Amino acid sequence: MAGRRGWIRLLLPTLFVAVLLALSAKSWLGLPARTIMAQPEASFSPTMAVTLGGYQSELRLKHWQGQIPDLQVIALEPPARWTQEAGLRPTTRKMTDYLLEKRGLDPNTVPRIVMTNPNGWHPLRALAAWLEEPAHLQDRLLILVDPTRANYFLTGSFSFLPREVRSRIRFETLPIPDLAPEVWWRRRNGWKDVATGWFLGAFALFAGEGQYGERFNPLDSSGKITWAPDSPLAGATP
Amino acid sequence: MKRSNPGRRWFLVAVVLLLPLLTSPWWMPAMGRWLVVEENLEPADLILVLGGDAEVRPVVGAWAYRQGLGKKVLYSQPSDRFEPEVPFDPPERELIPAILRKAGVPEGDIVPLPGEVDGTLGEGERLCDYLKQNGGKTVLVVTTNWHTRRAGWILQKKVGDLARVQMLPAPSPGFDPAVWWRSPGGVEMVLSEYLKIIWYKIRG
Repeated sequence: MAGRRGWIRLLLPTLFVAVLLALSAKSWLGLPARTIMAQPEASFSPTMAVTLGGYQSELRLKHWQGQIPDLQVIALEPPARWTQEAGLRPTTRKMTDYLLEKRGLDPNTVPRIVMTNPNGWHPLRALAAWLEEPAHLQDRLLILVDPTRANYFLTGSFSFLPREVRSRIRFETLPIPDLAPEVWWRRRNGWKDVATGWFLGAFALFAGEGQYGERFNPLDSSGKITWAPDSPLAGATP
Repeated sequence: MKRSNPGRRWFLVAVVLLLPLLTSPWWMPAMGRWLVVEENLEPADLILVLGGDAEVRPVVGAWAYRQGLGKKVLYSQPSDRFEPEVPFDPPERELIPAILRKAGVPEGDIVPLPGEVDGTLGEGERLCDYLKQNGGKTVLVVTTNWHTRRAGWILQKKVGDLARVQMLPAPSPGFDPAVWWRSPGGVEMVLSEYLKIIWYKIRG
């Protein structure tokens, strides 16, 4: 009897909490998506901006240029892929020029940082080295980044950047429609991106930068494709 | 009245928490390997190169062709949604046949799957249409290693009894099935693929 009364006494507070949770669902449902977003504080005024690529980076750059007309955009150029070396795709320089022009910029006035390695935290290292050059010691850099990578890079910036350089860098995540706080939990890509953002952030926290494989290149020294898989597939015969 | 021993309860909690950690050398590689379907390759009527990862999959498809594992190489044509941001950068529907040609597949044996597709489900539907019109009892499907499990299920389900689907995994530089947790790319792929599998199993 006493046990049953105990359950009834528990029922009312439980119902009360359930109603509160239901009423505030709109705000807490958006919380997981918000945890992978980053935005600079209002007082941060960048002198330079760079995008690590991704959907809608163009729109965000335009937004910032509207706010700060003198904002200097810099471009990060990844190394050529094998399809570019083989002449099947345009060169990185040609594509970067097009994208800069599309953003209303004169490609000849945009500084380039040519990366030898685009993996892991290397883009961040390249940008930090740029900021440490004597000519850029007064600059403040805004990095536009995909939300899935924001926590990964943010952790990287805390783990190896000197405090002075870190104080001049801020991250802003690009607005991805599937990740909007009010809709992410109804979309497959929303779940995928939130989970990826969390896991990559946790990964960076516990394991650091991580390993990355070499880029796939099937070309031999003569420029022909002679690629064959490693065993056991190589041993599979018709 | 029998009272439970608090010490014993904490011991059980510790075991439950530690068990996944202690057994991780077994289940973590198993998770990665399970995604990759590797079959004993037999000659098929057709080789199908799925869309996506266009720098790798067609090279593997061309290797299979050169090995005599298929008479024709089909490739799917991703929809405009996947158009490159730069208009003079060739889209996949142009890049894939160009790579196949460069890798030694004769022009006449390179066949586009008619119709644009938006994902693996669409590719299954297009393959089904193709088989109904042109025949073919076995298809060797080339896709990136971590995608082979889900793609195999989807394509075999769509194709039904029309043909038997075999999978040929293409390598992924960012994903080593045995040690996927050591690279951010591996973590991203495993996570994303398991979520897609769960989504596929629930929503179909």
